[in-house]
Amino acid sequence: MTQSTPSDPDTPASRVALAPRADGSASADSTTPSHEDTARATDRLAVEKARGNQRASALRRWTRLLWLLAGPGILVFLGENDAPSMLSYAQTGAQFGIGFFFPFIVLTFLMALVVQEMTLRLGAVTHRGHAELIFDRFGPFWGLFSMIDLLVGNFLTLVTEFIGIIAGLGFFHVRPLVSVGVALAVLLGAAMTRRYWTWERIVLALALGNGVFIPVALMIHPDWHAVGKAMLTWGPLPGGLTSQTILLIMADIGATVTPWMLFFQQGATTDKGLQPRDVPFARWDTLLGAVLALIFGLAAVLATTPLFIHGISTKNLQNVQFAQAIEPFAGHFGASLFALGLVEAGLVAAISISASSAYAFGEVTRQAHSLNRPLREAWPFYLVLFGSAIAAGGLTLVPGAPLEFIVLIVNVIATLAMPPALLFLLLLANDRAVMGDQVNGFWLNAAGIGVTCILIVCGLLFGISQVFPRVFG
Amino acid sequence: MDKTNDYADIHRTDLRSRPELVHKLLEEDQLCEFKRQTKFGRRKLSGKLLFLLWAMRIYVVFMLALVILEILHAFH
Repeated sequence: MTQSTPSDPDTPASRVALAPRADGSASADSTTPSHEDTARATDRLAVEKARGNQRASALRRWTRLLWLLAGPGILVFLGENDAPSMLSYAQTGAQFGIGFFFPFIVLTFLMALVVQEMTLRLGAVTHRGHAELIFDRFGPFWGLFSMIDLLVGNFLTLVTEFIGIIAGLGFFHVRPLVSVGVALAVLLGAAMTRRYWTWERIVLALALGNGVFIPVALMIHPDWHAVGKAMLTWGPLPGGLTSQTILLIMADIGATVTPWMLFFQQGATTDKGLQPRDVPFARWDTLLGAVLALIFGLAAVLATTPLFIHGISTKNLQNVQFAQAIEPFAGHFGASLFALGLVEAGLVAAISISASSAYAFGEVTRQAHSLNRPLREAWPFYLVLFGSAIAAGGLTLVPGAPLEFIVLIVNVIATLAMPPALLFLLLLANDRAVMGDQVNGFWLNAAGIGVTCILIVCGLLFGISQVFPRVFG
Repeated sequence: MDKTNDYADIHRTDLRSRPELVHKLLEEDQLCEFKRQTKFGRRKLSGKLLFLLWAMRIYVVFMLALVILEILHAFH
Protein backbone atom coordinates (compact mmCIF):
# COMPACT_ATOMS: atom_id res chain seq x y z
CA MET A 1 0.00 0.00 0.00
CA THR A 2 1.39 3.37 -0.98
CA GLN A 3 1.80 5.75 1.91
CA SER A 4 0.75 9.34 1.93
CA THR A 5 1.31 12.27 4.20
CA PRO A 6 -1.22 13.57 6.72
CA SER A 7 -1.75 16.64 4.55
CA ASP A 8 -3.25 14.49 1.84
CA PRO A 9 -5.99 12.58 3.63
CA ASP A 10 -8.61 12.33 0.94
CA THR A 11 -6.65 10.47 -1.69
CA PRO A 12 -7.10 6.71 -2.08
CA ALA A 13 -3.69 6.17 -0.50
CA SER A 14 -4.80 7.79 2.72
CA ARG A 15 -2.95 5.71 5.28
CA VAL A 16 -0.50 7.84 7.17
CA ALA A 17 2.58 6.53 8.93
CA LEU A 18 2.47 6.70 12.72
CA ALA A 19 5.89 5.21 13.43
CA PRO A 20 7.91 5.32 10.22
CA ARG A 21 10.84 3.00 9.79
CA ALA A 22 14.36 4.26 9.40
CA ASP A 23 14.00 4.19 5.63
CA GLY A 24 10.79 6.16 5.86
CA SER A 25 8.51 3.32 4.81
CA ALA A 26 5.82 1.67 6.87
CA SER A 27 6.23 -1.66 5.14
CA ALA A 28 5.80 -4.70 7.33
CA ASP A 29 7.27 -7.12 4.82
CA SER A 30 10.56 -7.60 6.61
CA THR A 31 9.14 -7.97 10.11
CA THR A 32 8.74 -11.19 12.01
CA PRO A 33 5.04 -12.12 11.99
CA SER A 34 3.35 -11.97 15.37
CA HIS A 35 1.45 -14.83 16.95
CA GLU A 36 -1.72 -13.09 15.73
CA ASP A 37 -0.41 -12.92 12.13
CA THR A 38 0.60 -16.59 12.16
CA ALA A 39 -2.76 -17.69 13.55
CA ARG A 40 -4.58 -15.65 10.90
CA ALA A 41 -2.32 -16.99 8.18
CA THR A 42 -3.13 -20.53 9.35
CA ASP A 43 -6.80 -19.83 8.65
CA ARG A 44 -5.90 -18.24 5.31
CA LEU A 45 -3.86 -21.33 4.39
CA ALA A 46 -6.95 -23.50 4.73
CA VAL A 47 -8.88 -21.02 2.55
CA GLU A 48 -6.21 -20.93 -0.15
CA LYS A 49 -5.94 -24.72 -0.16
CA ALA A 50 -9.71 -24.98 -0.61
CA ARG A 51 -9.63 -22.40 -3.41
CA GLY A 52 -6.87 -24.26 -5.23
CA ASN A 53 -8.28 -27.75 -4.80
CA GLN A 54 -8.89 -28.57 -8.44
CA ARG A 55 -9.77 -32.19 -7.63
CA ALA A 56 -12.93 -31.18 -5.83
CA SER A 57 -16.11 -30.37 -7.76
CA ALA A 58 -17.11 -26.71 -8.02
CA LEU A 59 -19.99 -27.28 -5.60
CA ARG A 60 -17.79 -29.03 -3.06
CA ARG A 61 -15.14 -26.33 -3.32
CA TRP A 62 -17.79 -23.62 -2.85
CA THR A 63 -19.27 -25.40 0.16
CA ARG A 64 -15.84 -25.88 1.72
CA LEU A 65 -15.02 -22.20 1.20
CA LEU A 66 -18.34 -21.14 2.71
CA TRP A 67 -17.64 -23.35 5.74
CA LEU A 68 -14.22 -21.74 6.16
CA LEU A 69 -15.26 -18.15 5.52
CA ALA A 70 -18.65 -18.12 7.24
CA GLY A 71 -18.92 -17.00 10.84
CA PRO A 72 -19.17 -13.27 11.50
CA GLY A 73 -22.45 -12.93 9.56
CA ILE A 74 -24.20 -15.89 11.18
CA LEU A 75 -22.89 -14.92 14.61
CA VAL A 76 -23.96 -11.30 14.37
CA PHE A 77 -27.53 -12.19 13.39
CA LEU A 78 -27.97 -15.08 15.81
CA GLY A 79 -26.25 -12.95 18.47
CA GLU A 80 -28.81 -10.25 17.84
CA ASN A 81 -31.60 -12.78 18.38
CA ASP A 82 -30.76 -12.19 22.03
CA ALA A 83 -32.81 -12.51 25.21
CA PRO A 84 -34.58 -9.09 24.99
CA SER A 85 -35.15 -9.61 21.25
CA MET A 86 -36.74 -13.01 21.73
CA LEU A 87 -38.87 -11.51 24.51
CA SER A 88 -39.89 -8.66 22.19
CA TYR A 89 -40.94 -11.24 19.62
CA ALA A 90 -42.78 -13.22 22.30
CA GLN A 91 -44.55 -10.05 23.42
CA THR A 92 -45.43 -9.29 19.77
CA GLY A 93 -47.03 -12.69 19.24
CA ALA A 94 -48.87 -12.57 22.55
CA GLN A 95 -50.18 -9.04 22.08
CA PHE A 96 -50.92 -8.92 18.33
CA GLY A 97 -51.09 -12.56 17.16
CA ILE A 98 -50.42 -13.35 13.51
CA GLY A 99 -50.71 -10.17 11.46
CA PHE A 100 -48.89 -6.92 10.69
CA PHE A 101 -45.76 -7.78 12.67
CA PHE A 102 -44.93 -10.86 10.56
CA PRO A 103 -44.04 -8.95 7.38
CA PHE A 104 -42.75 -6.08 9.51
CA ILE A 105 -40.17 -8.35 11.16
CA VAL A 106 -39.13 -9.56 7.68
CA LEU A 107 -38.62 -5.89 6.76
CA THR A 108 -36.43 -5.31 9.84
CA PHE A 109 -34.20 -8.20 8.78
CA LEU A 110 -33.93 -6.79 5.25
CA MET A 111 -32.86 -3.48 6.81
CA ALA A 112 -30.28 -5.26 8.94
CA LEU A 113 -29.00 -7.15 5.88
CA VAL A 114 -28.38 -3.89 4.00
CA VAL A 115 -26.51 -2.47 6.98
CA GLN A 116 -24.42 -5.54 7.74
CA GLU A 117 -23.35 -5.95 4.10
CA MET A 118 -21.59 -2.61 4.38
CA THR A 119 -19.76 -3.58 7.57
CA LEU A 120 -18.49 -6.87 6.18
CA ARG A 121 -17.18 -5.05 3.11
CA LEU A 122 -15.52 -2.38 5.25
CA GLY A 123 -13.82 -5.08 7.34
CA ALA A 124 -12.66 -7.18 4.40
CA VAL A 125 -11.32 -4.20 2.43
CA THR A 126 -9.70 -2.13 5.20
CA HIS A 127 -8.76 -4.87 7.72
CA ARG A 128 -9.66 -2.32 10.39
CA GLY A 129 -12.43 -2.24 12.96
CA HIS A 130 -15.40 0.11 12.81
CA ALA A 131 -14.40 2.22 15.83
CA GLU A 132 -10.88 2.62 14.49
CA LEU A 133 -12.15 3.89 11.14
CA ILE A 134 -14.53 6.38 12.79
CA PHE A 135 -11.72 7.72 15.00
CA ASP A 136 -9.24 7.87 12.12
CA ARG A 137 -11.53 9.53 9.60
CA PHE A 138 -13.73 11.74 11.81
CA GLY A 139 -11.41 12.41 14.74
CA PRO A 140 -11.73 11.70 18.47
CA PHE A 141 -14.56 14.21 19.07
CA TRP A 142 -17.09 12.34 16.93
CA GLY A 143 -15.40 9.04 17.64
CA LEU A 144 -16.00 9.45 21.37
CA PHE A 145 -19.69 10.10 20.84
CA SER A 146 -20.11 6.91 18.90
CA MET A 147 -18.02 5.01 21.47
CA ILE A 148 -20.21 6.28 24.32
CA ASP A 149 -23.34 5.20 22.39
CA LEU A 150 -21.79 1.80 21.82
CA LEU A 151 -20.37 1.10 25.25
CA VAL A 152 -23.44 2.32 27.18
CA GLY A 153 -25.79 0.43 24.85
CA ASN A 154 -23.59 -2.67 25.03
CA PHE A 155 -23.41 -2.66 28.82
CA LEU A 156 -27.17 -2.26 29.23
CA THR A 157 -27.78 -4.98 26.66
CA LEU A 158 -25.29 -7.27 28.41
CA VAL A 159 -27.23 -6.82 31.64
CA THR A 160 -30.43 -7.90 29.90
CA GLU A 161 -28.65 -10.97 28.51
CA PHE A 162 -27.79 -12.08 32.01
CA ILE A 163 -31.35 -11.36 33.13
CA GLY A 164 -32.50 -13.67 30.31
CA ILE A 165 -30.02 -16.37 31.32
CA ILE A 166 -31.05 -16.18 34.99
CA ALA A 167 -34.73 -16.26 34.05
CA GLY A 168 -34.30 -19.14 31.58
CA LEU A 169 -32.31 -21.29 33.99
CA GLY A 170 -34.66 -20.23 36.80
CA PHE A 171 -37.35 -22.25 34.97
CA PHE A 172 -35.22 -25.29 35.84
CA HIS A 173 -34.77 -24.08 39.44
CA VAL A 174 -31.14 -23.05 38.97
CA ARG A 175 -30.07 -20.31 41.38
CA PRO A 176 -29.15 -16.92 39.87
CA LEU A 177 -25.60 -17.02 41.20
CA VAL A 178 -25.01 -20.42 39.57
CA SER A 179 -26.61 -19.23 36.29
CA VAL A 180 -24.35 -16.17 36.08
CA GLY A 181 -21.32 -18.27 37.03
CA VAL A 182 -22.02 -20.88 34.34
CA ALA A 183 -22.55 -18.19 31.68
CA LEU A 184 -19.32 -16.41 32.63
CA ALA A 185 -17.43 -19.71 32.60
CA VAL A 186 -18.61 -20.46 29.04
CA LEU A 187 -17.75 -16.90 27.93
CA LEU A 188 -14.29 -17.09 29.48
CA GLY A 189 -13.66 -20.62 28.24
CA ALA A 190 -14.48 -19.70 24.63
CA ALA A 191 -12.31 -16.58 24.66
CA MET A 192 -9.33 -18.28 26.30
CA THR A 193 -8.78 -20.62 23.34
CA ARG A 194 -6.34 -18.00 21.94
CA ARG A 195 -7.71 -18.68 18.46
CA TYR A 196 -10.40 -16.68 16.71
CA TRP A 197 -11.32 -19.76 14.69
CA THR A 198 -11.91 -21.98 17.75
CA TRP A 199 -13.83 -19.21 19.55
CA GLU A 200 -15.98 -18.65 16.46
CA ARG A 201 -16.83 -22.35 16.04
CA ILE A 202 -17.73 -22.75 19.72
CA VAL A 203 -20.04 -19.73 19.61
CA LEU A 204 -21.53 -20.83 16.26
CA ALA A 205 -22.40 -24.23 17.75
CA LEU A 206 -24.06 -22.49 20.70
CA ALA A 207 -25.84 -20.03 18.39
CA LEU A 208 -27.55 -22.78 16.41
CA GLY A 209 -29.37 -23.58 19.66
CA ASN A 210 -31.51 -20.53 18.81
CA GLY A 211 -33.40 -23.00 16.61
CA VAL A 212 -35.19 -24.42 19.66
CA PHE A 213 -37.92 -21.86 19.05
CA ILE A 214 -38.92 -23.79 15.89
CA PRO A 215 -40.18 -26.94 17.68
CA VAL A 216 -41.94 -24.71 20.23
CA ALA A 217 -43.74 -22.92 17.39
CA LEU A 218 -44.68 -26.24 15.76
CA MET A 219 -46.03 -27.57 19.05
CA ILE A 220 -48.71 -24.89 19.20
CA HIS A 221 -49.98 -25.95 15.72
CA PRO A 222 -49.87 -22.52 14.05
CA ASP A 223 -52.45 -21.37 11.53
CA TRP A 224 -50.29 -21.34 8.38
CA HIS A 225 -53.10 -19.86 6.33
CA ALA A 226 -53.16 -16.82 8.64
CA VAL A 227 -49.37 -16.56 8.37
CA GLY A 228 -49.54 -16.52 4.56
CA LYS A 229 -52.37 -13.97 4.60
CA ALA A 230 -50.48 -11.71 7.02
CA MET A 231 -47.40 -11.80 4.81
CA LEU A 232 -49.42 -10.70 1.80
CA THR A 233 -51.70 -8.14 3.42
CA TRP A 234 -49.57 -6.69 6.27
CA GLY A 235 -52.52 -7.16 8.57
CA PRO A 236 -54.42 -7.32 10.75
CA LEU A 237 -53.08 -4.87 13.34
CA PRO A 238 -55.44 -5.22 16.31
CA GLY A 239 -56.08 -1.85 17.95
CA GLY A 240 -54.44 0.14 15.16
CA LEU A 241 -51.45 2.42 15.57
CA THR A 242 -51.35 3.15 19.30
CA SER A 243 -48.43 4.31 21.44
CA GLN A 244 -48.13 0.69 22.62
CA THR A 245 -47.84 -0.47 19.00
CA ILE A 246 -45.17 2.12 18.31
CA LEU A 247 -43.20 0.99 21.34
CA LEU A 248 -43.33 -2.59 20.07
CA ILE A 249 -42.34 -1.46 16.56
CA MET A 250 -39.31 0.27 18.12
CA ALA A 251 -38.50 -2.80 20.19
CA ASP A 252 -38.74 -5.11 17.15
CA ILE A 253 -36.47 -2.84 15.12
CA GLY A 254 -34.09 -2.69 18.08
CA ALA A 255 -34.24 -6.48 18.12
CA THR A 256 -32.70 -6.61 14.64
CA VAL A 257 -30.78 -3.43 13.86
CA THR A 258 -28.40 -2.25 16.59
CA PRO A 259 -25.07 -0.40 16.79
CA TRP A 260 -23.12 -3.27 18.37
CA MET A 261 -23.77 -5.38 15.26
CA LEU A 262 -21.76 -2.92 13.13
CA PHE A 263 -18.78 -2.95 15.46
CA PHE A 264 -18.94 -6.70 16.02
CA GLN A 265 -19.18 -7.87 12.43
CA GLN A 266 -16.47 -5.53 11.19
CA GLY A 267 -14.21 -6.51 14.11
CA ALA A 268 -14.86 -10.22 13.59
CA THR A 269 -14.36 -9.94 9.81
CA THR A 270 -11.01 -8.27 10.44
CA ASP A 271 -10.01 -10.75 13.14
CA LYS A 272 -10.95 -13.67 10.90
CA GLY A 273 -8.68 -12.21 8.23
CA LEU A 274 -11.19 -11.93 5.38
CA GLN A 275 -9.88 -10.30 2.23
CA PRO A 276 -11.67 -8.39 -0.54
CA ARG A 277 -12.01 -11.47 -2.72
CA ASP A 278 -13.83 -13.24 0.15
CA VAL A 279 -16.62 -10.66 0.09
CA PRO A 280 -19.05 -12.84 -1.95
CA PHE A 281 -18.75 -15.61 0.65
CA ALA A 282 -19.06 -13.10 3.50
CA ARG A 283 -22.31 -11.93 1.87
CA TRP A 284 -23.60 -15.51 1.77
CA ASP A 285 -22.60 -15.87 5.43
CA THR A 286 -24.53 -12.73 6.32
CA LEU A 287 -27.57 -13.75 4.27
CA LEU A 288 -27.56 -17.19 5.89
CA GLY A 289 -27.36 -15.57 9.33
CA ALA A 290 -30.24 -13.22 8.51
CA VAL A 291 -32.47 -16.02 7.19
CA LEU A 292 -31.78 -18.29 10.18
CA ALA A 293 -32.34 -15.47 12.67
CA LEU A 294 -35.54 -14.43 10.87
CA ILE A 295 -36.96 -17.96 10.97
CA PHE A 296 -36.06 -18.36 14.65
CA GLY A 297 -37.46 -14.92 15.47
CA LEU A 298 -40.76 -15.59 13.70
CA ALA A 299 -40.92 -18.95 15.49
CA ALA A 300 -40.76 -17.06 18.80
CA VAL A 301 -43.65 -14.84 17.65
CA LEU A 302 -45.68 -17.88 16.61
CA ALA A 303 -44.94 -19.67 19.89
CA THR A 304 -46.85 -17.08 21.92
CA THR A 305 -49.77 -16.44 19.54
CA PRO A 306 -52.09 -18.80 21.52
CA LEU A 307 -51.96 -16.20 24.32
CA PHE A 308 -53.43 -13.63 21.92
CA ILE A 309 -55.98 -16.05 20.49
CA HIS A 310 -57.21 -17.00 23.97
CA GLY A 311 -57.26 -13.40 25.16
CA ILE A 312 -54.69 -13.94 27.90
CA SER A 313 -53.27 -10.62 29.11
CA THR A 314 -49.51 -10.47 28.73
CA LYS A 315 -48.88 -6.86 29.71
CA ASN A 316 -47.21 -7.82 32.97
CA LEU A 317 -45.44 -10.93 31.70
CA GLN A 318 -41.68 -10.83 31.98
CA ASN A 319 -38.87 -13.11 30.93
CA VAL A 320 -39.54 -16.75 31.60
CA GLN A 321 -43.18 -16.08 32.51
CA PHE A 322 -43.81 -16.38 28.76
CA ALA A 323 -42.57 -19.98 28.95
CA GLN A 324 -44.93 -20.64 31.84
CA ALA A 325 -47.80 -18.95 30.02
CA ILE A 326 -47.46 -21.10 26.88
CA GLU A 327 -47.21 -24.34 28.86
CA PRO A 328 -50.94 -25.14 28.49
CA PHE A 329 -50.56 -24.90 24.68
CA ALA A 330 -47.03 -26.22 24.04
CA GLY A 331 -46.76 -28.62 26.98
CA HIS A 332 -44.05 -28.75 29.63
CA PHE A 333 -41.46 -29.83 27.07
CA GLY A 334 -42.31 -26.89 24.80
CA ALA A 335 -42.16 -24.46 27.72
CA SER A 336 -38.81 -25.93 28.75
CA LEU A 337 -37.48 -25.44 25.23
CA PHE A 338 -38.65 -21.82 25.29
CA ALA A 339 -36.79 -21.27 28.57
CA LEU A 340 -33.70 -22.99 27.15
CA GLY A 341 -33.96 -20.74 24.09
CA LEU A 342 -33.82 -17.69 26.34
CA VAL A 343 -30.68 -19.05 28.01
CA GLU A 344 -29.02 -19.73 24.66
CA ALA A 345 -30.04 -16.33 23.26
CA GLY A 346 -28.62 -14.55 26.29
CA LEU A 347 -25.42 -16.56 26.33
CA VAL A 348 -24.53 -16.13 22.65
CA ALA A 349 -25.36 -12.43 22.76
CA ALA A 350 -23.31 -11.93 25.94
CA ILE A 351 -20.31 -13.52 24.21
CA SER A 352 -20.76 -11.47 20.99
CA ILE A 353 -21.55 -8.15 22.67
CA SER A 354 -18.64 -8.32 25.11
CA ALA A 355 -16.38 -9.11 22.12
CA SER A 356 -17.81 -6.09 20.30
CA SER A 357 -16.96 -3.80 23.25
CA ALA A 358 -13.46 -5.28 23.50
CA TYR A 359 -12.79 -4.88 19.76
CA ALA A 360 -13.92 -1.23 19.86
CA PHE A 361 -11.86 -0.47 22.96
CA GLY A 362 -8.71 -2.05 21.49
CA GLU A 363 -9.19 -0.26 18.18
CA VAL A 364 -9.47 3.25 19.58
CA THR A 365 -6.72 2.81 22.17
CA ARG A 366 -4.55 1.14 19.51
CA GLN A 367 -3.96 -1.82 21.83
CA ALA A 368 -3.76 -5.40 20.56
CA HIS A 369 -7.32 -6.53 19.96
CA SER A 370 -7.65 -10.03 18.64
CA LEU A 371 -8.95 -13.35 19.82
CA ASN A 372 -5.85 -14.76 18.11
CA ARG A 373 -3.71 -13.17 20.82
CA PRO A 374 -2.78 -14.82 24.13
CA LEU A 375 -3.90 -13.13 27.32
CA ARG A 376 -0.46 -11.71 28.18
CA GLU A 377 -0.19 -9.95 24.79
CA ALA A 378 -3.67 -8.44 24.74
CA TRP A 379 -4.69 -8.21 28.38
CA PRO A 380 -6.51 -4.83 28.02
CA PHE A 381 -8.65 -6.40 25.26
CA TYR A 382 -9.50 -9.40 27.42
CA LEU A 383 -9.97 -7.18 30.45
CA VAL A 384 -12.74 -5.27 28.66
CA LEU A 385 -14.21 -8.49 27.28
CA PHE A 386 -14.32 -10.26 30.64
CA GLY A 387 -14.74 -7.13 32.77
CA SER A 388 -17.87 -5.91 30.96
CA ALA A 389 -19.43 -9.38 31.18
CA ILE A 390 -18.54 -9.83 34.86
CA ALA A 391 -19.84 -6.35 35.73
CA ALA A 392 -23.10 -6.93 33.84
CA GLY A 393 -23.57 -10.39 35.32
CA GLY A 394 -22.72 -9.06 38.77
CA LEU A 395 -25.24 -6.23 38.49
CA THR A 396 -28.06 -8.71 37.93
CA LEU A 397 -27.24 -10.26 41.31
CA VAL A 398 -27.35 -6.97 43.22
CA PRO A 399 -30.60 -6.70 45.19
CA GLY A 400 -32.59 -3.62 44.17
CA ALA A 401 -30.67 -2.99 40.93
CA PRO A 402 -32.90 -1.21 38.36
CA LEU A 403 -33.17 -4.27 36.12
CA GLU A 404 -36.75 -3.67 35.05
CA PHE A 405 -35.78 -0.17 33.92
CA ILE A 406 -32.89 -1.54 31.86
CA VAL A 407 -35.03 -4.22 30.20
CA LEU A 408 -37.62 -1.63 29.24
CA ILE A 409 -35.24 0.80 27.59
CA VAL A 410 -32.57 -1.37 26.04
CA ASN A 411 -34.13 -2.10 22.63
CA VAL A 412 -35.57 1.40 22.35
CA ILE A 413 -32.15 2.92 23.06
CA ALA A 414 -30.63 0.66 20.41
CA THR A 415 -33.13 1.93 17.83
CA LEU A 416 -32.58 5.58 18.81
CA ALA A 417 -28.79 5.28 18.69
CA MET A 418 -28.83 3.65 15.27
CA PRO A 419 -29.31 6.67 12.91
CA PRO A 420 -26.00 8.37 13.89
CA ALA A 421 -24.24 5.00 13.69
CA LEU A 422 -25.73 4.49 10.22
CA LEU A 423 -24.58 7.94 9.14
CA PHE A 424 -20.98 7.05 10.02
CA LEU A 425 -21.39 3.70 8.28
CA LEU A 426 -22.73 5.27 5.09
CA LEU A 427 -19.98 7.90 5.07
CA LEU A 428 -17.29 5.25 5.51
CA ALA A 429 -18.80 2.91 2.93
CA ASN A 430 -18.80 5.79 0.43
CA ASP A 431 -15.32 6.97 1.36
CA ARG A 432 -13.13 6.21 -1.65
CA ALA A 433 -10.03 6.93 0.42
CA VAL A 434 -10.99 4.00 2.65
CA MET A 435 -12.83 1.66 0.30
CA GLY A 436 -11.20 2.30 -3.05
CA ASP A 437 -13.30 0.66 -5.77
CA GLN A 438 -15.46 -1.15 -3.20
CA VAL A 439 -17.49 1.95 -2.30
CA ASN A 440 -21.27 1.63 -2.11
CA GLY A 441 -23.23 1.56 -5.34
CA PHE A 442 -26.33 3.67 -5.97
CA TRP A 443 -28.88 1.08 -4.83
CA LEU A 444 -27.02 0.24 -1.65
CA ASN A 445 -26.85 3.92 -0.78
CA ALA A 446 -30.54 4.31 -1.53
CA ALA A 447 -31.31 1.33 0.72
CA GLY A 448 -28.97 2.60 3.45
CA ILE A 449 -30.50 6.08 3.41
CA GLY A 450 -33.97 4.48 3.35
CA VAL A 451 -33.17 2.41 6.45
CA THR A 452 -31.84 5.51 8.24
CA CYS A 453 -34.99 7.47 7.37
CA ILE A 454 -37.26 4.63 8.57
CA LEU A 455 -35.41 4.53 11.89
CA ILE A 456 -35.62 8.30 12.32
CA VAL A 457 -39.35 8.32 11.49
CA CYS A 458 -39.98 5.50 13.97
CA GLY A 459 -37.99 7.40 16.60
CA LEU A 460 -39.95 10.59 15.94
CA LEU A 461 -43.27 8.73 16.04
CA PHE A 462 -42.18 7.29 19.37
CA GLY A 463 -41.29 10.80 20.59
CA ILE A 464 -44.65 12.18 19.48
CA SER A 465 -46.47 9.28 21.14
CA GLN A 466 -44.74 10.12 24.41
CA VAL A 467 -45.15 13.91 24.29
CA PHE A 468 -48.67 13.87 22.80
CA PRO A 469 -50.06 10.47 23.87
CA ARG A 470 -53.58 11.31 22.68
CA VAL A 471 -52.46 11.54 19.05
CA PHE A 472 -52.27 7.75 18.82
CA GLY A 473 -54.99 6.91 21.30
CA MET B 1 -1.82 -16.16 -12.06
CA ASP B 2 -3.44 -18.77 -9.82
CA LYS B 3 -1.31 -18.71 -6.68
CA THR B 4 -3.63 -20.98 -4.77
CA ASN B 5 -2.02 -24.23 -5.93
CA ASP B 6 1.23 -23.06 -4.33
CA TYR B 7 -0.15 -24.03 -0.95
CA ALA B 8 -1.13 -27.65 -1.65
CA ASP B 9 1.90 -29.20 0.06
CA ILE B 10 2.24 -26.71 2.89
CA HIS B 11 1.23 -27.79 6.38
CA ARG B 12 -0.04 -25.35 8.96
CA THR B 13 2.91 -26.10 11.24
CA ASP B 14 5.26 -24.86 8.47
CA LEU B 15 4.04 -21.32 9.05
CA ARG B 16 5.88 -20.99 12.37
CA SER B 17 9.25 -21.69 10.79
CA ARG B 18 8.60 -19.90 7.48
CA PRO B 19 7.54 -16.30 8.09
CA GLU B 20 7.65 -15.57 4.37
CA LEU B 21 4.59 -17.82 3.98
CA VAL B 22 2.70 -15.71 6.49
CA HIS B 23 3.54 -12.60 4.48
CA LYS B 24 2.39 -14.34 1.31
CA LEU B 25 -0.90 -15.50 2.78
CA LEU B 26 -1.84 -12.18 4.34
CA GLU B 27 -2.24 -8.87 2.58
CA GLU B 28 0.36 -6.36 3.70
CA ASP B 29 -2.20 -4.18 5.46
CA GLN B 30 -3.42 -7.21 7.42
CA LEU B 31 -0.14 -7.54 9.27
CA CYS B 32 -0.16 -6.29 12.86
CA GLU B 33 3.04 -4.33 12.41
CA PHE B 34 1.65 -2.49 9.39
CA LYS B 35 -1.54 -1.67 11.27
CA ARG B 36 0.45 -0.49 14.27
CA GLN B 37 2.53 1.80 12.09
CA THR B 38 -0.19 3.34 9.95
CA LYS B 39 -3.68 4.74 10.18
CA PHE B 40 -6.18 6.33 7.85
CA GLY B 41 -5.86 10.09 7.72
CA ARG B 42 -8.60 12.46 8.91
CA ARG B 43 -11.16 13.46 6.29
CA LYS B 44 -12.32 17.03 5.82
CA LEU B 45 -15.75 17.61 7.34
CA SER B 46 -17.79 20.02 5.25
CA GLY B 47 -20.34 22.40 6.78
CA LYS B 48 -23.23 20.24 5.55
CA LEU B 49 -21.70 17.12 7.03
CA LEU B 50 -21.06 18.81 10.37
CA PHE B 51 -24.67 19.98 10.41
CA LEU B 52 -25.84 16.41 9.78
CA LEU B 53 -23.59 15.01 12.50
CA TRP B 54 -24.82 17.59 15.03
CA ALA B 55 -28.44 17.04 14.02
CA MET B 56 -28.07 13.30 14.64
CA ARG B 57 -26.39 13.93 17.99
CA ILE B 58 -29.14 16.30 19.14
CA TYR B 59 -31.75 13.79 17.94
CA VAL B 60 -30.23 11.04 20.08
CA VAL B 61 -29.88 13.20 23.21
CA PHE B 62 -33.44 14.55 22.87
CA MET B 63 -34.97 11.14 22.27
CA LEU B 64 -33.05 9.52 25.10
CA ALA B 65 -34.26 12.23 27.46
CA LEU B 66 -37.80 11.43 26.36
CA VAL B 67 -37.31 7.72 26.96
CA ILE B 68 -35.89 8.26 30.44
CA LEU B 69 -38.69 10.68 31.35
CA GLU B 70 -41.29 8.22 30.09
CA ILE B 71 -39.82 5.34 32.04
CA LEU B 72 -39.55 7.44 35.23
CA HIS B 73 -43.16 8.49 34.71
CA ALA B 74 -44.20 4.86 34.31
CA PHE B 75 -42.38 3.87 37.51
CA HIS B 76 -44.20 6.56 39.51
